[in-house]
Amino acid sequence: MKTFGILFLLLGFFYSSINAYAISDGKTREDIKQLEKRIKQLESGRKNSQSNNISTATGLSRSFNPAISLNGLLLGTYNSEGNDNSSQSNKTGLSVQEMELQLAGNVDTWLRIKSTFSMEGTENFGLEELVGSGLITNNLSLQVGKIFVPIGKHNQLHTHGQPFVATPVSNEMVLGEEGMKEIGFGASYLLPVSFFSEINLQILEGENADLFASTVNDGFAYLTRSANSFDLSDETTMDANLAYAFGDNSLTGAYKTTEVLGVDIRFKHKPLGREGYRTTIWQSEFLTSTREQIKTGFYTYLQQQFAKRWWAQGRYSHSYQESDRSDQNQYSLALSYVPSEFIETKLEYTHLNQYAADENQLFLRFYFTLGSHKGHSY
Amino acid sequence: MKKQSLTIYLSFLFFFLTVTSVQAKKLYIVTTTTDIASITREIGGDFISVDSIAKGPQDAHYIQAKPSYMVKLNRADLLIYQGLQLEIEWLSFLIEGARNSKVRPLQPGHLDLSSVIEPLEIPIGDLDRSMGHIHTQGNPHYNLSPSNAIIMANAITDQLILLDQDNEIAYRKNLDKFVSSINDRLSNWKSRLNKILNKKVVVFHRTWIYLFTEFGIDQIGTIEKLPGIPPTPMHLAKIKNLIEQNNVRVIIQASYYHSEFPNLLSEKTGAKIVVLPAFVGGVAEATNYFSTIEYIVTELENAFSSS
Repeated sequence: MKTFGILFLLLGFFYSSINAYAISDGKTREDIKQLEKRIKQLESGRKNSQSNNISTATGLSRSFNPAISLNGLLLGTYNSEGNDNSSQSNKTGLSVQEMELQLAGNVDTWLRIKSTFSMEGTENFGLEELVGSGLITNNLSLQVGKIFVPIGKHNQLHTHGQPFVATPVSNEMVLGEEGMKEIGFGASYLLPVSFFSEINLQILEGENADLFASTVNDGFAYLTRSANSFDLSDETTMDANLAYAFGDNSLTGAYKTTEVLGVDIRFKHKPLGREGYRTTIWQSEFLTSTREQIKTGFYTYLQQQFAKRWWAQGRYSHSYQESDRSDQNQYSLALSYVPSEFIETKLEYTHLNQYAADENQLFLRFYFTLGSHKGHSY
Repeated sequence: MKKQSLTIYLSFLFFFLTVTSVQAKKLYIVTTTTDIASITREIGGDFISVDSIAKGPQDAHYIQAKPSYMVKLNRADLLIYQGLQLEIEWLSFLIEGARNSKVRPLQPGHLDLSSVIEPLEIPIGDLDRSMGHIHTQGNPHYNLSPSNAIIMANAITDQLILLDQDNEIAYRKNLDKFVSSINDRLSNWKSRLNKILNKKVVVFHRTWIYLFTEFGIDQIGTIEKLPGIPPTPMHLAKIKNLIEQNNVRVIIQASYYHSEFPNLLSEKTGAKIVVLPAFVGGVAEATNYFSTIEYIVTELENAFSSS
């Protein structure tokens, strides 16, 4: 019996030795092949790079420069309540709603940087976003910088990427007028399951004055998020995300910690072979926060692309705060003309029903992108 | 006795694990288009499994970077794509979101097939966005030339061997079979189209230049004013005159475009509209690379003959 065992052990060892030799021999050949291939690629790449640099005196340096783009949003607004109320956010008149300058590219083999500077109106140019990201191991990546915190969908969008001109009242109420943009760092891990499922953990400075106000305490804010996406068919996708954040605020005692919860869901339908002509999106988001009082809100919207260049959409948004039991109801309808992915003209009507006087707002917004601007994530 | 049993058990386990680790794993390959997937299947046979991100009826320029595609790329041993900026809007998102170092640029699991192709229609001069959706490195629809399919197949074979040397003989054998099948069919396709004298066409978008170069078809105008930019009434009038002056009998468009402008020109001039698949799976009959080109040649043959 002992001999039998030793025989098997030897057989296993013998087999693995052959295998190891084969791998080692294969590895050398693989290295040679890889080098040969690299030479071939360099030779053919030379031909392509020459053609890319035609008529550019600084062709080589251009290829190492980051992608640079400028987004402009020019806005005309009518507000039925006039401009007397100083707290009113959408006043009658013409304005530069926002200009965004974006620089993005790889710093080196490991780190990628995306930075966005924005200017509201014609003054106050400042850093809006600065994200460094890198792959640590397979499935795990790190982010650091000033981040659009991934709580709900809307909060992650730059102004030019938002589907409506008027911010949903739910987001304004729960996350504040400026939304939740925080300096921090975090990791995201793609779970090894059959559908897309990502876990996100972030440690944030907690600067948001409406939620944390970390300037008056030593604490951080912490966020955890689960992002999931399911293909219901080749044409329809469902996303479902859940995010929870907590951190100290400027208060003491029972109200010392603020908690924020965001849940969002989206269905997107694009018929196969007609992607350029038809799209239907239904998206809803619920937000709630606790800081002395509970604030809640949600929105739901439907977007329909009905021709190559035309979109129609409608949204309902609701917000509520516990302290004075006041609520707001916001109804928006919009029509967009999109001659190319670099230009859009949007006409929007918004009715705001609230404790103060109701407002009727009409917007006409023109948007452009100049330069190399990476498309938006799904 | 216990020790003996343990030795036997461990020996079995060791032997089993060594054998299965060598034999079991198929290469998982993700391609951006169905043409690349079809050619890769011909070469890889049973030793690989392949998924294409774009489906046959889709316009590969405008694929949504869905998270589910990131999951596919996350598991991939090899990514093969068409390049020449065909996938510029979406592929970098997927590679970044996949978090798989194997398929990142310059890795053995990353193959840009345009690196082995001689591109056509490389724009020259100062280029900017006023010229529409131009591809600065050349027209990316090289998959529609059977001669290019042979070059693509060679590059795919090299890459499969790089990743899976054990099956080199099988891959080379499959390559020989593929090349000989293409060559046999190519002479037949050419002889059928060579019989037609007037092969002037107008196209909706510049999708077909590699196909036309292969088969001697003369493209004399495009319905789009500029790449990706729909025509103005003035441009349509110009194309109508062009069709009439040159006795063009055929208008060609890919299956993923609306036919409103070709229909208008067809009504005014009597030219016949031919809707063709730009990729494998673009129509039900185009089930693989061979049947796709066969379908295209047959449709062209019928259109030219009947007009």
